[in-house]
Amino acid sequence: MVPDQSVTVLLRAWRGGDSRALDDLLPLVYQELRSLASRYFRGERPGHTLQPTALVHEAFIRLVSGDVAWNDRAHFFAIAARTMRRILVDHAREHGAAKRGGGWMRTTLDEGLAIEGAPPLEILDLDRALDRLTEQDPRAARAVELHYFGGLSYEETAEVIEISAATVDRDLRIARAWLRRALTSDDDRDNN
Amino acid sequence: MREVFDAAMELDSPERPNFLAQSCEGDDEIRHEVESLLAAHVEGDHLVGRVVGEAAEKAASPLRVGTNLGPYKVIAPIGEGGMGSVYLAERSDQAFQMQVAIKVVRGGLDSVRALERFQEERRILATLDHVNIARVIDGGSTEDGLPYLVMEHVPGQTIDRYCELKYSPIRDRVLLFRKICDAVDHAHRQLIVHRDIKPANVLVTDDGVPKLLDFGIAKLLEGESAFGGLTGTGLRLMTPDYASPEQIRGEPVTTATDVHALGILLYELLTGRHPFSKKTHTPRELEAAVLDRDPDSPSTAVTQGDGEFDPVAASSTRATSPAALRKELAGDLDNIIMKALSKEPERRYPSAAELSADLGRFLEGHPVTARPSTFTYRAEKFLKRNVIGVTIAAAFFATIVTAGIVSIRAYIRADRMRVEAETQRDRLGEINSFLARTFEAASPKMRQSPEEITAREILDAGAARLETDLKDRPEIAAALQTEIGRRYYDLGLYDRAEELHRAAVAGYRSTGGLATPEGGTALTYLGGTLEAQGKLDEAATTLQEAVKLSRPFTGTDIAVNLEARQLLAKICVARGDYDNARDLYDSLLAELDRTPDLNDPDHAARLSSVPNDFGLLLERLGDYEEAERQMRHALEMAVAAHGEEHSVVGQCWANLAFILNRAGRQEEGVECARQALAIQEVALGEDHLQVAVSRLSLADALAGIGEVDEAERHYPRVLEVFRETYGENHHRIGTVLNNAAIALLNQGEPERARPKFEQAAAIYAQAFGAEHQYTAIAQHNIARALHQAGRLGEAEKSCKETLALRRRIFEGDHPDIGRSEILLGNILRDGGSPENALPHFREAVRIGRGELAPGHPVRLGAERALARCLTNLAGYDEAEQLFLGIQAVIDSTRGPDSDQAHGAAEDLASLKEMREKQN
Repeated sequence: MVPDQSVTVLLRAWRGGDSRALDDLLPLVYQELRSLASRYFRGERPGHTLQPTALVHEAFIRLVSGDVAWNDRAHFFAIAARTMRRILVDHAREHGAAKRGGGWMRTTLDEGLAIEGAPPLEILDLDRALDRLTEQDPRAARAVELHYFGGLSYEETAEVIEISAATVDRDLRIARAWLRRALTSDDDRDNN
Repeated sequence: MREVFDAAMELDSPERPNFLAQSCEGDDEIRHEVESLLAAHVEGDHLVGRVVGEAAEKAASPLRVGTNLGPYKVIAPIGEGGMGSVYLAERSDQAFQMQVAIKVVRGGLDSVRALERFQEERRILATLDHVNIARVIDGGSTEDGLPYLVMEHVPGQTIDRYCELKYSPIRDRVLLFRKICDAVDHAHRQLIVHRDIKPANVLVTDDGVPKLLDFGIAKLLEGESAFGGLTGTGLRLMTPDYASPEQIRGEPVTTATDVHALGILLYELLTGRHPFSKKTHTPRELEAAVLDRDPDSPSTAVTQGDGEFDPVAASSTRATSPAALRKELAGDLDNIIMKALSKEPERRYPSAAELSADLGRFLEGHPVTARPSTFTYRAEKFLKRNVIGVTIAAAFFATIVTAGIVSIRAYIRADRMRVEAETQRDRLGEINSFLARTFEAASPKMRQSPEEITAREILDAGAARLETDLKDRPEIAAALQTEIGRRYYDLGLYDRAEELHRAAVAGYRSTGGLATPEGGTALTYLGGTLEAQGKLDEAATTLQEAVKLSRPFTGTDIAVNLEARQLLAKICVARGDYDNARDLYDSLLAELDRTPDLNDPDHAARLSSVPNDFGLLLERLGDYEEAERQMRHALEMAVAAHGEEHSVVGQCWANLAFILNRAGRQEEGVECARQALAIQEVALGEDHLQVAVSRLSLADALAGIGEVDEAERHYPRVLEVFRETYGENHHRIGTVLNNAAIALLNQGEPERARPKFEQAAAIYAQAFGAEHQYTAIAQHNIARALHQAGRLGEAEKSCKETLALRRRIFEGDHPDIGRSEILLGNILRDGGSPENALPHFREAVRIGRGELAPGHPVRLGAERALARCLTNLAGYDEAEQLFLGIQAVIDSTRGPDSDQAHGAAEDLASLKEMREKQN
């Protein structure tokens, strides 16, 4: 598929200060990522745990032409990472509604989840914790979004945030500890 | 705060408290915050990545909650994994509820052929029937073309968690583990390899029953044709944690692969650690360790604590101390586990059964076969390319040779093995080398795909090579064809079985060997296969030939002749040709009387099964008296062969109880059933299947004499055992529900009975299909319940449907059609139109008089219903004749003082009254 010029153009416009360009950009990226995700399941590469990494990179190749300026590329990844987070949260919300339908269903689910041998940590909990982290340490939270939701490497993350890779390493280190504490402490989850 | 945290992270942990004390002097808030974050810090923390990854998996999930897949409705996602997505679903049709797990295959299958292959393998997996294996129930493909499997849903914990939560001691863990070995061995005997055994695939229910999930699924999902260009990457689809060296090397997967995985599982259960995880952080390092590193022995592993493993905690969850745990593991358990974990498949236990047997010896304090490995032992390297020959051949031999040729017939075994031991050894040698060549041909080097070999492929390869390889030894080729055909038969692949048996028969025929016990066996199996395919005419011809040419056989070889005749009798019963079936059983019994070897338990068991089968046929015909005589005969023979307390004897008692119940002698039936139950409980243990079968007879009999309370206590226990053994939707579950509902119906509770009949009907429909005798029985009972509840409109509709169904199922007359006619007549009569009821009663009488004994309930019931209807319509003369006939039959079968006899007298009296009124 020939990359759609419009995305490149929109990215450039956004960088140039046109905030409406972002409004046009987001649905395109959202659409592309969603359809990639569903095709991913159906078609190719059986057996791999689906990771956003490949999707975001693939979306980039499909949506943005190759000769784009590096900071447009960085912006694209930033958008894609944010979009991916939204897709996952949206989906969890849709499903959450069905899941929390009744006590009986809940029990059954818990039994089933025992198969995985881990407590059912929800993406929604992570999303909320990440929001709180953003209040305290916005740069670390952004690194988490880019690295984990956008699938960017430390170097790419560093490039987008315009800091050193070593700093990304440190940001992610404290962010992981912070998020683990937030996700595994019972008090915190009850507040949700 | 950030600075303090970052700086602290650069220090070694022991230095941190001092550093914090200095740098946060006076600011306890920051200090606590940093301390708490440091405590939450984990090296290589994957938590965030995992949560995101799982969410991504779910977002890409192929099924939504509420979707319908065939009769199943998706309720909730259970899990996502490398292979696909798993959902909890329930059967959403009819009134009956059953929960299942549905696994949707990721990636789809890219061709019709691949999908066919998937379905074929699925059917093979469905033949696995073991209490410790989660059953494959169904399968298909979604609207998007993604294949899915429907499996038994097992609510429970993974085995490792279950043991940790229960603080199970070592012996309990070994006991639990042995059940898994039994399950694996069962599958290996069907030539099905699990190849992905790991704690996540072994769930234990709350009652402590372990169930192995996903048998053969790994292979099913990776089948080579599924992903054309991706073969060879198959291994990468699974986690290496439980992979064997041969899997990592991409070599064929065999039964020994499962033994290795069982070794890892046992290691983890007993020690709480993974044998290869020490000092390995990446999958690649783990793979290297699996290939090259000998793990610490379990007794060593439990003493060496490190950051992740605490010896005290591990021993306390095993209800012991570290020292005692080490001592318990040292020696036998070390040796057993290390043997299972041998790098070379041929050095492991040849089967899961032998692993289990060694553990059994350990538990009983007998010497085990596993030995610590010595240097020379280790240095021995067997021909690696023969791995498959050695290992699969072991499984193949277990089924085909030992269970097959050596005991083609229990009869043949005794003599032949003694007299012809030499010849037999030669033959086995020849067969062995043929099998080795077959495996080589089927091995990956010769094939397009490096994936593992299926039972079907081995059989196909074997069958294909037989004609070329053993051209000069046609009698051996034929013997193997017979056995391979037998395996196809067991897998339900009747067409292939037929081909092989035909080839074997042709081989024997061309070499003049048809009139030998082996040739006769081939012919008999061909007949049995044709019978299973429903090709009754040709089956009968074939079996008649087998009977004819096996007639001169002497000694125990006559078994071939007897088996052919038993099959013929079965065909006769299937055709409704009861006269000939009866003759066959008569002559078989006469023959058996002349066979001298009554003392051999094998023979006696076989002998007693002939009058047993005959007795059950007679029961169907309503000849209860003779049926009872035969069953008592079977009982006598079984007692002579096994003594009073054997389970076969118990079975005879249970069958006798069944016949007496049907004959209306429920008081005696209760006594016999109690006898059966007592024997079976002692012989087999309280929860055994046969015990449950006896219990069912007892419950039925109790319900028949109005002891409904006691009966209702028995039905749930039967149901429990059946469910555990067969799963939720086995036809026998349907039978219990049906019978329990009949008890309710007899108590005048049609509305409570009906849902149970409906459940039974749904189960039968699923097990046998909608157009089946049993399905029709349950539906007939639904109509009865509706009738009894006074819902005549619904009852009439339902009854007419069942009648039509039965006419389609049975070609000619059948007592069940008579039952439908009687019921329909009763419904119409109660609806106020006796003139419409009359023809139905007449038809039922015609059917009853055709084939059934005078005392058969259908015949008697039809005559009585007709007579009463005639009375209402003023057809007094004919009615009187009928009543008199009925009275005579009842007087002779039940005695003039029985309830039935009084009933007949009342009928006659009321006829007389009506007639007088009329005049």
